[in-house]
Amino acid sequence: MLGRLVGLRLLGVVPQLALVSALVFALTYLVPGSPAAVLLGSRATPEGIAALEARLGLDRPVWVQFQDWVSGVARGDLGTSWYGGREVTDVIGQHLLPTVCLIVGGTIVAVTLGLSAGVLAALRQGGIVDRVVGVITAAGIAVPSFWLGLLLLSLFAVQLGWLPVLSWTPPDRDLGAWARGLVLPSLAAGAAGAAIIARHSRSAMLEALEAPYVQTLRAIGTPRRTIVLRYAIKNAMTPILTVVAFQVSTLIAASFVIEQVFTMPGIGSELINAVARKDIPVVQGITLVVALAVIVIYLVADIGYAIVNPRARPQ
Amino acid sequence: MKRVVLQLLRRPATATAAGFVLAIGVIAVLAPALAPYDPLTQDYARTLEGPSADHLLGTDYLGRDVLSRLVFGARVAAQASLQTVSIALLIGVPLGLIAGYRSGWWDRVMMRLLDVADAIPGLVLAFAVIAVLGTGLTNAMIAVSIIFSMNFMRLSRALALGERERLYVDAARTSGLTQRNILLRQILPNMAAPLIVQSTIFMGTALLIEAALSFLGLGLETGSASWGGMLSGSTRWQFQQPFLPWPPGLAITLTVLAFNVLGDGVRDVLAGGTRDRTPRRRPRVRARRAAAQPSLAQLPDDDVPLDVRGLSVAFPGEDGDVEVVSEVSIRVRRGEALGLVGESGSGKTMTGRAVLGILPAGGAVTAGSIHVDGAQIVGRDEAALNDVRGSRVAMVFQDPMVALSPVHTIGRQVGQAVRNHAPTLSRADVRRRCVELLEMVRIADPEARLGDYPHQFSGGMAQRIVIALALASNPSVLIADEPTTALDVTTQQEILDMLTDLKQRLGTAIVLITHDLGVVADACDRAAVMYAGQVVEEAAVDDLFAAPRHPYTRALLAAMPTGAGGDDRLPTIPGRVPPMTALAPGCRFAPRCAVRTDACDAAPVELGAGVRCLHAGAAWQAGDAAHERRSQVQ
Amino acid sequence: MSALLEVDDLWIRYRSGSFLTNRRKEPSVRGVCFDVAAGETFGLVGESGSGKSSVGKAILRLVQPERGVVRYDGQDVRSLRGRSLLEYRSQVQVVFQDPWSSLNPRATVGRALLEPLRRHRRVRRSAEGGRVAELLELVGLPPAHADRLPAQLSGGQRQRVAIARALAVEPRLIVCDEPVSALDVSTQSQIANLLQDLQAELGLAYLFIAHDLAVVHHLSHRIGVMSAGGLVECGPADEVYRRPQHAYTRRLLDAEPVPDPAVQRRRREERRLRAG
Repeated sequence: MLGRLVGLRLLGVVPQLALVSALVFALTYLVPGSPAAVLLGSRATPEGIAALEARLGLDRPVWVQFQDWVSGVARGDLGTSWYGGREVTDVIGQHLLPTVCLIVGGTIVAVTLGLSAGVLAALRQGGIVDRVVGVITAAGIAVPSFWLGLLLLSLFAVQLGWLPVLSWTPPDRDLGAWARGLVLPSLAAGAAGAAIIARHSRSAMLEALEAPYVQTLRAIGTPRRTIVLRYAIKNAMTPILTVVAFQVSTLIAASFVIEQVFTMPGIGSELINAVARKDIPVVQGITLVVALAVIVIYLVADIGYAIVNPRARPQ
Repeated sequence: MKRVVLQLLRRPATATAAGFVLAIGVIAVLAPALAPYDPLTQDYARTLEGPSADHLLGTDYLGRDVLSRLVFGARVAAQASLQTVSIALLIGVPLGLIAGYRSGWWDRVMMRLLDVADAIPGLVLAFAVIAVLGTGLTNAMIAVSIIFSMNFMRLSRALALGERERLYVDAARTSGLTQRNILLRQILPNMAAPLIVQSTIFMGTALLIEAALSFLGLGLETGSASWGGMLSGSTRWQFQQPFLPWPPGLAITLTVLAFNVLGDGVRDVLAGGTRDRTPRRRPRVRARRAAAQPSLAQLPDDDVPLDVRGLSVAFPGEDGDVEVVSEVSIRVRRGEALGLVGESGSGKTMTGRAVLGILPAGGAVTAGSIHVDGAQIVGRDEAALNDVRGSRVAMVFQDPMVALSPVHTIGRQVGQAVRNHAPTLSRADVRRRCVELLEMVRIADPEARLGDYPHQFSGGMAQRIVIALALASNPSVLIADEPTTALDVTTQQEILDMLTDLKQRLGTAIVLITHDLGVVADACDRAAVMYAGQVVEEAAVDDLFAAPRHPYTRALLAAMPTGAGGDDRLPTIPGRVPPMTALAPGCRFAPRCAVRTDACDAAPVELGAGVRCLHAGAAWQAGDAAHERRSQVQ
Repeated sequence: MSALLEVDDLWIRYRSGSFLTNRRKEPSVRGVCFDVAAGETFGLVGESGSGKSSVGKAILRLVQPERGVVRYDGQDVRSLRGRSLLEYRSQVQVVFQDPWSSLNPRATVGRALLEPLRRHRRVRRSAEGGRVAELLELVGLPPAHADRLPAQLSGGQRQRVAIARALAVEPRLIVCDEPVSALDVSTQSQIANLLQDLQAELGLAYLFIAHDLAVVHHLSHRIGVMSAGGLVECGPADEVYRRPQHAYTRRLLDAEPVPDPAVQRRRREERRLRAG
């Protein structure tokens, strides 16, 4: 049954991927004027532009370029940077690990903190815990994540000295330092997600606890603990999963910003450099990889959704 | 509209947030007049100063006055949030509205577009747009507008899809109203609330994205004053001047917070504002007179598993407690079915729920006693009640399709009912008992169906399963609250036959709560008719239908079409059931009664000899004619 | 006598699923034929899923039939466009079951009545207020209710507003889709009487769709019984109610409890004997 679901969803992913890659490819052509002219800046001469276009392959028909690009992507070749001629796949590959670590760390923070705070607040609706969670989540959503990162850094690393200022140590060099270094960035990256997940799981839990089937369970003498742990949470998972998937996908972008705060050598800095100097192939490559990751996240969420909710399974 | 605004301002948090947002708006407009310095004037002699009389919030690394920059930054903030959100609304809402209302190919195209937007997180899309168009606030805000408009489109589409299913849209179509009118004048106003909420949230998000882009050096030119730019600029100097990031940081945080609080307030007010405002006060409990009544000495009576005396239930209201059940007394014997009949608001459901101690939030028993198998229910704590629920008294609810958890198997839920009162039973024994229970309620192939989910059963079958749950631990009393109202008549008949059969076989005492006198005639031995929280008449069904004594019972019976004649007008009861806050001082039915006299209004009427009416005898005679008409038909 | 409304071999089938999982559902209406004369009430009875509401929707052009014709005054309803469609919209109106969702929650009662009046140019601007008051009085509501929102009305009052809205354009046929089933017993009879009074006064024809045979029999001249999308029996109301020909009609009649314990006991005994 799940196999059928995965199959159906994968079929749906194909047109989505095609459209995304077409859009990403089109970026080059959305640049006002010729990209070559932009690259050359004030030194641009018509001859220079023509020569550069020929070198970058921009003088060929659009259709041919697209075919090239798509077949390249299919082979795992994302083209070469306009600056320094590095392979885009190499650029991504060399910087992937810190980013992935940060995203996974942020996800763990967002999901564990968010879920437990939300569920707890719902169970103590109107009580002290509920109010404290309410205030913290409201603030968590409103604080710019990079500022939170800086505050955490100056408090825990600079003033208290509990955690290292330098956040990235490769795990193969020193596993302990690697883990300690990831604590603050993960907190900063996951805070906003945790706040939003907490709010949604609170209301999902409240809704689940007010549902008619809870009355049935109460009417047969089911203890409240059992109702909450065995029934309400599973029912609340359906709406929460959607929120979690969305938060994890926004966490990817948030991690790019957090990397800057903690000077981690991740994809983020490459992307931001590329954006600033209009290195379109690198922007395209990273955007495509991010899109792929997001699609996979939603796919996993959909499968989780079907596991939790029998009505979402294909008949 | 005015009412909504007033309600909003009555909430302290919302009013504060609204005031804050308004203040930011005023500051933005009056910035040149309010700022003590020019925000761009540099003073290298006085860089990175802390707060002082000259510079209330200090100076930055170029000696510029922080307060003035903050004031001018409000302009950028207001512009960024207003522009992005209004552009996004203008693009997203019409597209989503049309996609949701028309469906078809247009909707499919829009959905594919949204799929693409889904795959690229907002900030990454902003990066791509800036890579193409160059840095700067305008370009960044274009990117943000695109992201927001996609969101608005999805939201509007979902809302329009929901509204389209509502009957008023069908009614508008059959009125011949134009599509334009239906979309803009009928559907759109009903979508306003969630759109407003989302807009306020996005206004905050726009500020956060602006700040993030400034921090990355992709936003505004560094010179001009924006909160995001100030915050990111100050972070480089925060070790020399730790105060520097706080003014812009707090400005952003508080403004975003204000937008969110405002949005929450709007949502709560428009949703009725009940969710988080469940009254904490419980209704005042009157002296539990019945508990001390000497007649209780006669208990326990093995033959009367349910004995309710003088039960009153109240909820806290705007002006004091509102009593929804008033001194109700019912006794049900083993193997007997009592019909609790009444229209909506008569208090019949609350009576039933009080017996299990599962009143809705705020509700409480304020007087009287409830004995199940001789044990008092009123005043017991939750743990003690859980021992009684299911084992001695259980309840079946109106809509079987929502009475079971949709994400748990039937076996799991029936098993829960079994285990609740037999925790030591082995897995195999629980399973055996589940199969036995499903067989008892006549579910075919029970062994195989234990693994199925509720949605795989029809309404009638689901109700059988709910009944199996209720009877899992052989309770003495079963409260069935409108168990067949949501079902078709042929299914209703099967369920009622089954209940009657179980009652005879297991000796369960049944309280059947219903509005349908036909159901009472079919499945009950005795009936208590309720009106406005009181029992107005109680009798064996044969007597009740042959000779109704209360004018209300009589009127209800007469109002039922029974096939007497095609062109007859049905006798009606004038007026409607009164709200429990505006009851007549005397007999509660008097304002609608055909045999009312002045005596009826003088004082509350007591229940005597099974009827709560001063004119029970006269009413009986007047009811005769109507009854004869009916009996001729049979 | 020629019929006002003719339904001829009507088939309706809904589609389901996305284009990936497109499956053709079983038809929900299969070859239904009946007609309604001017000034007559035709009752359509059936259980949930019998297709009775779909028939009503096809007549109102809210769903497209797969096959078959709905004729009004001899004209195929599907062929109507523009002015003639608008004219049809003024001739055939609707009252739905759920009074909580059939009125726009953001429109006052007055606006709900004015919209169809204006669309069909039934009154001059200066006479609008008077006509709204007149309509409200016709359904037994005080004219002051024009300023109220649906949330401020009871279920019965809303149903009266829905009837007034249908009457605003002076129709000749009203499709009543379970108009009383969501109401309390005492309100039910008030609305049923109102519908009968309006018929006598205005010469309206009704297509009365309901699951409750007793109510349908009370209000209708002729009755059609639907089961699983088909019309299993059709005839004069008393005939169908007292001498049902089709087994399904008999089952339906038997299952509907009457307020007489003796009758119900006898029926249950008979069922028990039949079951063996």
